[in-house]
Amino acid sequence: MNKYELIYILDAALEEAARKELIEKFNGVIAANGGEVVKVDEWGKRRLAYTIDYKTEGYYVYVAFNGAPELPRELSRNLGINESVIRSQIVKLLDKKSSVKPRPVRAAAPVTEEAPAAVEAPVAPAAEEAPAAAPEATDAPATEEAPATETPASEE
Amino acid sequence: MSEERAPRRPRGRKPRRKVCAFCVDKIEYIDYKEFRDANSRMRRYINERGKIMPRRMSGNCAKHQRQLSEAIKRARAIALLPYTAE
Ligand SMILES: [Zn+2]
Repeated sequence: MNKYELIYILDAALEEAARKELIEKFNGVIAANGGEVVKVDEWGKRRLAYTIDYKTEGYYVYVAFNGAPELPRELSRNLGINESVIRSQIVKLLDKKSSVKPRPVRAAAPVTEEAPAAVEAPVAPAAEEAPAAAPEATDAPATEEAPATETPASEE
Repeated sequence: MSEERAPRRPRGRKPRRKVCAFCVDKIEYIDYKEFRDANSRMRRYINERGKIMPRRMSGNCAKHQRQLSEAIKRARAIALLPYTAE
């Protein structure tokens, strides 16, 4: 089981009932393929950053889900053939967090020391390596296992 | 310390050491969803034409610049950000 997140944009002209039905339908696709919906967050109507099929706004739906590596393909196929879905994107989640990461050792010292020096010294920026040797790849098709801890990234 | 450096510096602007803001904040993963908010501080890495700010300007380290550009591209794909001029 991998962790994924999906965002899809529904036609803003859709009636609420039809919209609810579609959201249920896509959640059903996840469930029917052995996945599990972790969270559904309807962002609601938003202006699109660019027009898609002459549409300037859409109804955004965010879904966090777990599933087998084959699930994203099946899900995006379902999203793709639905004409009410303007666009969709599935992203594989890593066990990294977007929040502040606790780094006990030598975290406080270098930072406070670097800050004043930043004004003068034209040294190359110290590339701080993340201690966790986690793989960089964040794309969906990857198959390495992601031990489920909690939903990262979407801590709201 | 500044007096020692000054004479050796050729004329022009004082070089300023840039520090990766994401390293300072110890960000492990740059989330594309942060571009959802139009007032997000992340928007400062995109110019008014929608282009990604180069590393030489932002001072980001390679690792975080890579993550940032990935996040921006994901945000573009789902129409949270424009590909070109707004
Ligand atoms: Zn960095």
